[in-house]
Amino acid sequence: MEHFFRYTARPYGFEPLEGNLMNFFWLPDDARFFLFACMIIAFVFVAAAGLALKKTGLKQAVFYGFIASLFFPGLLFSARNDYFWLKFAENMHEKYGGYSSDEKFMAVDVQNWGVHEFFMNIRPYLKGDYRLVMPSLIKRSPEFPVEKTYLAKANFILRPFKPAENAPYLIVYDYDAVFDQQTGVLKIGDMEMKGLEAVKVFSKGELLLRRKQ
Amino acid sequence: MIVPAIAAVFIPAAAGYLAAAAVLKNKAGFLERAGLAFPLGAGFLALLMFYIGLLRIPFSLYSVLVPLASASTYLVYFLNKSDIKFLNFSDGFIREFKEEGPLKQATAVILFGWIILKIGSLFFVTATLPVWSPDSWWNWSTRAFVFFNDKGLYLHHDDFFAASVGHYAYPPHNPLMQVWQAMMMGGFDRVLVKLWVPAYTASAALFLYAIARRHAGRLVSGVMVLFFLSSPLMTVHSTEPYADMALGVYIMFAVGAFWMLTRGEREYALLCGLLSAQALFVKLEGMVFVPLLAGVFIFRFLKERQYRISPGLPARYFAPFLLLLPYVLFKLYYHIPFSHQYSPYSRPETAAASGGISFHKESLALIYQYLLHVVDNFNVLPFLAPVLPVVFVISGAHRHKTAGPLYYAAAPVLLYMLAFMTLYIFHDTYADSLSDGYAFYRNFMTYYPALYFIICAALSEIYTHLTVAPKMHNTPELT
Repeated sequence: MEHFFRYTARPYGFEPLEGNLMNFFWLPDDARFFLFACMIIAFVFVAAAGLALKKTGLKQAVFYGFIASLFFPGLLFSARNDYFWLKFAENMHEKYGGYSSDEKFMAVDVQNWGVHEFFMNIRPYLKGDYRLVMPSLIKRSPEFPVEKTYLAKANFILRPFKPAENAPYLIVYDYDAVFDQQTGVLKIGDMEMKGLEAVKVFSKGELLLRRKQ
Repeated sequence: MIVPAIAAVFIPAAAGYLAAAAVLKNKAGFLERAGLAFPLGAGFLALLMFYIGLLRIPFSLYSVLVPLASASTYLVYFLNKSDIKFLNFSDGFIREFKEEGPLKQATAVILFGWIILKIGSLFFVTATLPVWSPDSWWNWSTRAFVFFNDKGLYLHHDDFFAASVGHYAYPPHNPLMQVWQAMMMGGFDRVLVKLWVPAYTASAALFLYAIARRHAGRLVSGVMVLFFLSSPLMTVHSTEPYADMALGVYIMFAVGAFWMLTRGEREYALLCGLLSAQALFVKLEGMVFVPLLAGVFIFRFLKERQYRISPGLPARYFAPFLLLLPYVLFKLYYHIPFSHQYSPYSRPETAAASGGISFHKESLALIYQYLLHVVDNFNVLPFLAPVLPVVFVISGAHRHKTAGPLYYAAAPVLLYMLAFMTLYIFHDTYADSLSDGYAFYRNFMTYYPALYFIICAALSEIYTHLTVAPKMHNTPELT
């Protein structure tokens, strides 16, 4: 049972949910054996009980056995999924509970749950408004004519490739990023920005920068 | 801010409840109406806001609430006049609970406590996390923000209909719901702007329970709802303003209504039409499902004409589609496509490109692999789905008259699934999208609730066939 939870219970971990979930068929042998054994026992027990007590015919007994064998993994998966969901909810409340939209905070995922950790690390360093470099969108639409859109007029933070001139902070979450602290130059692919200084370097590719005063 | 945010969910739900009562009359109990309430109301609200925007009337609480309140007032008058019970507690939930023994009562308390905890946690997390996923921002929330600040649909010469944002061909149901939520709160709060999303999940759970309750015991129905809610993928989709889950709920409701209709309850024809029309306004994939459902509806209608002909039935089903006529004309007039296309503003490199047709052998292996993976995304569904038809046939339930409506209800869902599989195998763009699994599971999300509903209905058929006397199987014909 412990294996079952330990190895499969990561639906709300910091991993992409839809594509990379652990698979039932990847369960360790003992957990898989345990689950299948329970299904078979449930099937045999219920079907046999129905027949032995003469409460059901053969078809009914098989059907009830079938339902019973599904009921067990169904309930187990429900318990597991919801337990970890509630743990996740509790965790998120601890991290985001004090969130206020007045901070103009915008969490943007880069196809990775880890970005939440990163944003939570950054948050204490942020004051006022800031712009965000969103590398997945830089790569996706380098020619995006933001000047022609409403976004250029709005004081809003979907500015993927051309941070606003007056943006006080620059958040970088891209492992292709190279920041030279001596010269204050940031390079991400073909993009180059000068006149920056580090507020905090969390790791290579995870940076909080600001313009030199 | 939380009170107006909650009110933003309750107002369309109240209007939707009245609409459900008016359409289904006394056929539906309180729980079924309550399940239908929010999706119906939200669908009407989004359409109403679209028309207001189209008429270039600035969005405001006044401009939205006045027509909504007027329609609701008329519905109250209609219910009174038509002798339709306002609160129809025919479900007997509390009464049954009191009559049961202590063991069943305790089980019910644990079971429904668990369900309430799960649904409550969805609202809780939604009200805690800001919008975080790129797709939500890119396709929906950014457009909602633009609409909110513009107090309209941004029908200006530059960047018409906010074309530079995401898939500009997508229907505006999702952003308009966010605009509504923001208007009620008086600001675009990046957390609470999506509080309406889990209301769809709660509605689906209620509807599933109410329909299951007609054919099975209370505890069995509760367990089915519990399994349905425990899908991790649906859980996450219930806390972010994606449109896949909302579309999935509309599809499930439409299939449920169609099932009831084919079982002889003709009040459900109008409901089925309304839900189908609303599904078209939620996401483009609705344009794949709804023609399939309509096709099966026509087939069924033509096949059953030999019995009792009721020409009003197709009219009741197809009339709600007229609600979408201005939207269709708007798209045609302004050359906004009906298929997945990026605006030339946002993705010039892909806007011009279109996927070709060729056979993708690698997709077969990927589909097989992803179907095995769905265990963790969808609980017991992968066990049930392939085994159930075998059990269905072995039990002999397939030979009974009552199986007919189930086949009709299952047909559009299975064809819809098949349509996606065909796209993955033969369409270059879809085959490419299959490589990371996201597209597959997003698409799966749109038919997961309906597929689950069909599974519940099939189990109920087998159970009825095996336990109830054959004379009970006679079902009224389509009228």
